[in-house]
Amino acid sequence: MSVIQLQGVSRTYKSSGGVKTPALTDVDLEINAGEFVSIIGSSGSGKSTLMNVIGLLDRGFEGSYQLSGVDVKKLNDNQVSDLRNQTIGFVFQQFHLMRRASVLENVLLPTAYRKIPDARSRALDLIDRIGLAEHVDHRSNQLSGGQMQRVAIARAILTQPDFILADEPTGNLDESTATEIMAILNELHSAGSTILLITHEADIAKHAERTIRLRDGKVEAAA
Amino acid sequence: MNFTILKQSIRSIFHNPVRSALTILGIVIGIAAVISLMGLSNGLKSQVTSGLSNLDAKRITVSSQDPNRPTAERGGGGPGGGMGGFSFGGQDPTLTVDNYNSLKTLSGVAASSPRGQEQLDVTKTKGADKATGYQVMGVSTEYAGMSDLTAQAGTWLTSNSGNKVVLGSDAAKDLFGSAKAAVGKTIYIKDTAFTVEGVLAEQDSGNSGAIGPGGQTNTQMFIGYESFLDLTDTTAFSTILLDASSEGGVDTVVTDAQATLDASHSKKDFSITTNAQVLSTISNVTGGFTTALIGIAAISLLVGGIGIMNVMLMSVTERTREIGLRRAVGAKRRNIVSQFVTESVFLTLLGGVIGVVLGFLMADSIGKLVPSSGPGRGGPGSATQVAAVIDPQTVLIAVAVSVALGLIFGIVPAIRASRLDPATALRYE
Repeated sequence: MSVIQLQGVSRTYKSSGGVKTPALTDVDLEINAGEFVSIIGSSGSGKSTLMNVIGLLDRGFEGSYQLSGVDVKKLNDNQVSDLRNQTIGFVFQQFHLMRRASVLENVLLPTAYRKIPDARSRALDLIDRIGLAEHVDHRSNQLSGGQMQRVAIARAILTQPDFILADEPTGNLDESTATEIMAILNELHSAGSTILLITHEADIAKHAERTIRLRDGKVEAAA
Repeated sequence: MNFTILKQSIRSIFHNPVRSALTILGIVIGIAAVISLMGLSNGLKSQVTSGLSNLDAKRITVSSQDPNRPTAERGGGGPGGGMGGFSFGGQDPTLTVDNYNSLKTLSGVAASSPRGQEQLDVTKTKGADKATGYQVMGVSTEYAGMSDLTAQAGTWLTSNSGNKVVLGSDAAKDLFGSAKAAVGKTIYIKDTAFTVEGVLAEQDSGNSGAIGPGGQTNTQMFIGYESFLDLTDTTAFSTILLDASSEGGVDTVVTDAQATLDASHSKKDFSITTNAQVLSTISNVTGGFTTALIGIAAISLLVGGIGIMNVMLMSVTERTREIGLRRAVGAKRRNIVSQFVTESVFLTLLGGVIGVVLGFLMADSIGKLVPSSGPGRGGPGSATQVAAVIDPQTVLIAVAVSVALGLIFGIVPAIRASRLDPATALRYE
């Protein structure tokens, strides 16, 4: 069953001067449940744009995008927000934790917008699994980079999303920490999670079962 | 809105306490100003009204006074003066005994007294060189009952004529050393012998009321009105006081009195006032004061509100990435709006509460500094303080206004936050 299905997706940015710059051109992409797929491309290849489209953060694209069988073009802003909350677990390069909130509060953030049964006990369990049980009440700005990214992963999977969208999750981490994070993602994948990893590093990309290469906004090769 | 959002709003406010404090300063000052001034004006108002209601809402005062003359020209008048809070010295008396006799028999009049007053020389022996000036009042036998005067020695006047006098407590003390010693003695007013019938109990300065300020009563002397006219060689009084038998009957008595006097006076040389009119004048004045206050408050709150909006706009900019993140994990636009509005409302509410407390403290301490200028000030040392009166309604309005400010000035930044493009917001540096 496909979780993500893109057909003929293009995204063009218009500058204020009216100049059109294509960021994505005619992208076809299908990712099935349980897959671990990486999208690799250099800077300017369109991977951020693709990530925004897949992550429902940018809906100004042409073409068709079915997310878990739902045509996202037909949804209004509130429905898209709900869909993001329910189907996507974001992991960002910048971690994007709320600095003044505790580890637990950060992991529980998605529950501010949707009630999740047993959220608190699930969150504590996840924090324990990422090895931060002792830091539950610490403010997130007291953590190291690797710890922050682990918190972000816990936040991403709290809602049991259809897939994890990891955008350069190791981009701000040193090599050994990066390895730890990739190990966690691998573990999640083994446990059945669908993961879409966006990176410019071939070493990181190779953790995935399948790699899609983007160049100049086009899918170059699917390996 | 849920508890998590509220908690986060509070945290973000207290994260930067200096900035938050400066932000709400405008609101604090605005609300504090309103609360303190309202409290003081209410306090003053209730003091003045309670001073007047000490006596009688049934009181009607007929004065030798053209009602169309501006107040400023009325001789030495104004609150704190004589009769009913107004004095009419310097005005030629125009109310005759006949006027009094026809007014006192009007139906609905329960008690009545004319009142003439003049500063006259008083001596203990006939023809003495050294005389002391006392204010001598010509009144009826009903006057004591109408103004709560009681005799501490002897009795009150029993006749409107005859050379009998009742002394104020200080006058008795000055002349004879004590109240008891004065009773039965003879004094000479304008070289005419008067027998001291009684001495009044000491009136405290707080006993103001419609007839003669309490403090002044102590130095006055009272004689029957007929004796007064003989003594002063006049035919008219400056004032006639009427007490209606009921509050509801006041208007009828006023109408009748007006008609009676119109019939005998060729020109409008008298005026009729009631305590109710005095009260409504005072409430008009304080009403105007309140309106002016509201204007000032509105301006300071507007400025405070703009400050809130400015800081909220800054806060939205600073927290762009957080907004992006919240949108990514599922926040709808209205969730973002409610988060920022909650924050601004919390800020303004905090400002409002601090303002109320501060305003109360200010009103309290200013009230203690300002001597009352209400009626019945007898002299130095008798000044009373204004007790600030802050009613729950004022507090409620202040709180409601601060919440409204938070909503009004928080909504624009909040909507701006909610319209941020999530993808751009996440990458905002």
